[in-house]
Amino acid sequence: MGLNTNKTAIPSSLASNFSRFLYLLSFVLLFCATSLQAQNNESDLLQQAYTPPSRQGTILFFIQHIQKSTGINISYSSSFLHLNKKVQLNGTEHTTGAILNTILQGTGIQAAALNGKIFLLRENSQTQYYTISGFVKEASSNELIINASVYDPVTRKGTETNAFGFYSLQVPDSCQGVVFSHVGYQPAFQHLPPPDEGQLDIHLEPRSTLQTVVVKGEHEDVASQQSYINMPVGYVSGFPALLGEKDVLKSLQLYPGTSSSLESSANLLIRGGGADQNLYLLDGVPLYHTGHLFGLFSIFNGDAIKDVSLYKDAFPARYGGRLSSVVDIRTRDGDMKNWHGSFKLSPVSGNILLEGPIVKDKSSASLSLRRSLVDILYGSRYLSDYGKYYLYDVNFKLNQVINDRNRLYISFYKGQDKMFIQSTNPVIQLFDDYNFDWSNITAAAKWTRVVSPKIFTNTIATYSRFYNVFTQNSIIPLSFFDSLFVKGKGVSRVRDVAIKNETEYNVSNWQHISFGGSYTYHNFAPTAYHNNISAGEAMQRKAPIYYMSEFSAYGEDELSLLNDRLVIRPGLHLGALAQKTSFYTSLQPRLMVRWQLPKSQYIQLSFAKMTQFVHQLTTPVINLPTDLWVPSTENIKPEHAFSYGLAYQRQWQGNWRFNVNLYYKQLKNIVTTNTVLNIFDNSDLWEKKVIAGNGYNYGSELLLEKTQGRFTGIFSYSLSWAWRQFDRINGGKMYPYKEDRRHNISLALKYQFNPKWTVSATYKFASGAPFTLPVQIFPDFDWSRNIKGYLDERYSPFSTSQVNYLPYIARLNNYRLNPVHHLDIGTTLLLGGEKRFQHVISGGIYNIYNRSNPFIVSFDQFSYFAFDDIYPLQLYQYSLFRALPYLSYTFKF
Amino acid sequence: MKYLLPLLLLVSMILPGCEQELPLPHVKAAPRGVVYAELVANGTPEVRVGKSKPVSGPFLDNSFQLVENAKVQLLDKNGQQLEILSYVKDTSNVMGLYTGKTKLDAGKNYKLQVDIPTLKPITAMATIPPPFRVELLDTLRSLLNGRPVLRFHFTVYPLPGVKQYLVMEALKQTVDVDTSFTYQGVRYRKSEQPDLYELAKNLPGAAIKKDSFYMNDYLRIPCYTQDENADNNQVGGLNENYNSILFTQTGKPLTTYFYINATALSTNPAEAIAPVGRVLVYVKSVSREYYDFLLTYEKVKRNPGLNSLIQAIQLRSNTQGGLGVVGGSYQKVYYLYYDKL
Repeated sequence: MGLNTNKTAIPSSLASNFSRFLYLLSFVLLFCATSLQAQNNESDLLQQAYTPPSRQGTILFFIQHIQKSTGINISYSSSFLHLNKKVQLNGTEHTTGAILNTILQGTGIQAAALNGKIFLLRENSQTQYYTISGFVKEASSNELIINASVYDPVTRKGTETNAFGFYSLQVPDSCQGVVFSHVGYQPAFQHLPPPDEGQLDIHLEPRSTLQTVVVKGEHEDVASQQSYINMPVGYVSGFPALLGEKDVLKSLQLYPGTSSSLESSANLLIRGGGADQNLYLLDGVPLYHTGHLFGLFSIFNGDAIKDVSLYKDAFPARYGGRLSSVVDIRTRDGDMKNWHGSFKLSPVSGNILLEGPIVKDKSSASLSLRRSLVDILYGSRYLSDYGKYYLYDVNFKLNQVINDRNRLYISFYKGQDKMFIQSTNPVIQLFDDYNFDWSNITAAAKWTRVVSPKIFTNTIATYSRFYNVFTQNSIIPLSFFDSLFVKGKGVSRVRDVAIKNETEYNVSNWQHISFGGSYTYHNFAPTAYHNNISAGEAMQRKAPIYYMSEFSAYGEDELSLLNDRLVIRPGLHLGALAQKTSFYTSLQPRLMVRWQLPKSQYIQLSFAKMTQFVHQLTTPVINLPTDLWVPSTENIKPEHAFSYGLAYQRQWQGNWRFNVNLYYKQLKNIVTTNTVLNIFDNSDLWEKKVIAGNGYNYGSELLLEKTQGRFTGIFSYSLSWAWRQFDRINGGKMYPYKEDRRHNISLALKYQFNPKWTVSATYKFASGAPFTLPVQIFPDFDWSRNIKGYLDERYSPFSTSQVNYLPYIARLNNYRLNPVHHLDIGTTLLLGGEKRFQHVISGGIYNIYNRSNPFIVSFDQFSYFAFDDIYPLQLYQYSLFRALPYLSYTFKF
Repeated sequence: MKYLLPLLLLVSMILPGCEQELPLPHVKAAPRGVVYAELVANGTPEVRVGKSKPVSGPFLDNSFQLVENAKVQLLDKNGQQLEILSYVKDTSNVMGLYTGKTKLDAGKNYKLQVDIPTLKPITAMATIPPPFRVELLDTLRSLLNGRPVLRFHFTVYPLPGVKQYLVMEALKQTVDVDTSFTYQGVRYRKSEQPDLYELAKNLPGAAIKKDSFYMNDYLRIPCYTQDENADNNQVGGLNENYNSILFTQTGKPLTTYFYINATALSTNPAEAIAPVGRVLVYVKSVSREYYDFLLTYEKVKRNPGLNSLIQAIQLRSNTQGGLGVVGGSYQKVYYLYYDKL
């Protein structure tokens, strides 16, 4: 360990510093009073000839050598003199005074001879500050720890490690030491000044491997608080999970202001925003589709993830491009010390994790694989009549320490879903065989550099691709006996290449500046379709492809004023989108003001303008790979959000936290379609089906949380409204957004009997989703005129017959479906303790009281009735999951 | 999306889920009157009247009551009564049909007032567009996306300063070949009165004649366009089929290909799908409100959105106090005879 000093003179306002100042002042006065009398002797001490043994060494080395070789006693205080600082002599120093002048240069300390001694004294009465910086790492693996607190336990001033585990903190020379803490790790106290020059890297010991850790961004008494939810990986495995698959996005849904469209969907909705309004970053790489199996599971493999951050408001200026939230996910860097891994097996999936050093303490690799096993285990016996489905994920990361200041990361992800459904399945008569095949690939090369103890920069080059292939073998009936055999293939693709730089400059403890910029090359091919049918006279339309350049630049200044009681963070984000026919710019101001109150309380105000240049055209409420990403064009403008937040928080003893939020968000130019898009049709001119309108989301949130101890838990409640208004929909009047949920309640509890055994339970409740129920039904227009139609699929695509009625819809989303709620319980058992091999058994029951929650609700049904048949009409609710047990076994080594 | 719903349903059934019938909410609501009328220039008024059903539990089905006792008045734009329409008893109708004798003029406004006992009165205004010129340049049998089609090459000329709302559609009307005869001064059809025919056929003055009868029964023929200016682009893709092809025309002549599915032009004895009959191809200029209704009707027929995955579509209507639509139309009809009648 070592120390980089970077001294600045800052007037101290603290009482403790003032007393120290008086002490030093008296010392200086004493020195002055006696200086005249003993001037000659004293001058001799500093003029005494002395030849240094070398030109390089630490301050301590030279002081000790002077004392040893000359016999002069040198008096100094180690509390303000950094003895291990390396210094370089000029070669011209031949006296004790000259040597001391050189080695003390820039330290604010000078040498004075008095009473036969040399005293090393401060030049003036001001407190001296110096900067310590470095990385906080996990002791056993050198894994970098994000959001660890670094603070002076006396003044309670401090900072946090950034997303790369780096911190930079100015401490007064009177500071005896700093604390490094993180709820997932044992805190560490580091004496100051540090024993070595260079970065002060700290290694923290993890807490018990099974202990749940829940860390909020708002660490007590840490100056650089931010309004966001941050979860280390330990959290994810803590609570019961559907089919035992831990899912970071579902875990985030335990917090207020977050919800999902449907029961147990990993589709994350933030404060009434759509799923497309979240910016998902996987190791800094933006993702466009985050769902496996219709969004029931997210693509983020819980075993590969180190840390998740969710920003709901008070967005830092570095983020842009989406309206509602930022979900920043970091994967494991890889153990730098030892190879280890785990193997997890459940009745539905398997998971392998392997990580370790390539060169010890220099480079590491982390590899995780996840695959569903349903097709392998049950495919031939139970599911072969239906088709086939499987998914897999691969996460790989390479982490290379170039030197103390430079580090290189290379990360790769591929996730794939493959689904085949055959027309001859025994459940529902389909005319078609379908193949769905969608995948995400991301790759990133990231270079982080400690430019100086105060400046940290990271540069990242990314590649992101979402690719959805759809093939279809259809029989389209042209008439009763005549049909077309269609073999079609559609592709929908998004491809991004980007480069980005972010720089943080820790000017002082009360001022942090960050700035940076990015360039993204977008290549969107939303719909590309071809089939075997002879087009005949049909125009062969080229699939639309969009090439765009997106630029962004940002700057942000975080100021801690009034002895850290007031934190103000103004920022500005500039975004621009350029393509052949249009150019849009957006200046997005950001502001966060936080007032620290006594007893760990604070009030926070925030404002952010966010702009989204890309739109997702989606009709369904579930996360389908066919959701269409399109850019802003000449006709379709970017979407904007103006977000206002007011928050109050109180924390008790670091264990309990209470938080209340009020928010209001206005959305402008948001787009929707007022028809059903058929993305696998090049002729489907999407721009003609898109209309723009406004949205209004507002509500309040409450959180009560206990984060430490044997008993931990979260209680959250959200009361919210989400409205939409489009000129040509609902008569131009506002109507509830499809994701509007009035009440959301989450309760998650966990009790740790001992380090080996934990039980947990979660309960979730969400008000019913809005649904449009016709007010009246009346005779169909064609039916009333005895016009029938059954040629070329001229009936509803959702039934094989034509219904004889039309719906009269007075207002959109006028009805509420049944609320969604379920109670899940789980337990985790660790066997093996601290041994080389460990076994973890997790089990539980999802939806223990066997409730049927709505997944799809239909007025009328997917019917086979004839045009003139009379049949009862009602609501049909289709549910996905009733009580469902899960069990998994993990072998760790 | 249209392909995905069956898949979702399938998934929901494979997984350990279930289907549950939920009762409809009990709502206190009265039925409303329903009026459909297309007032065609140079024709006489035909109005279909029915009743809606409130969506209310516990029991609802899709049967509709025939309204035979409505008072249907045709008024001019100032509210002066022109005629009270008469109810036409026809068992083939699913809504009450009321007809009149007033000749409807192009370029005029008409008002319909319909009173159904116990229901709110319904009024609606419709303008019959002025005459317009349409030219059929040629027709061609062809293939479009694998489907046999009949292509019409139309040019529709604009009216100065008038926005025209154009609708192109095709129907096949069933034709029945039957024997008619006269008995005691009244003509009957053999298929309807077989016993009477046996009695009368040998009587003098029976005047037996075999003839074609156009039935009140139609088959909608799917139609297509490749024209990016068609408003069908607001509904779906250009490779899809529609009830009608819709254009908003301002200022410039519209030259376009209009395709109709040729499968049913001729009857195939092996298939019951296409009745023996004649093909009617319409090119219409319609009133704005009627056009809006037809456009939303296209969307609803394509996907009514009555499930929780899809946003529902609202039909446009110009009726006050009731449901349905009253439209004005100036139309050009092309009659095509492919079947041997």
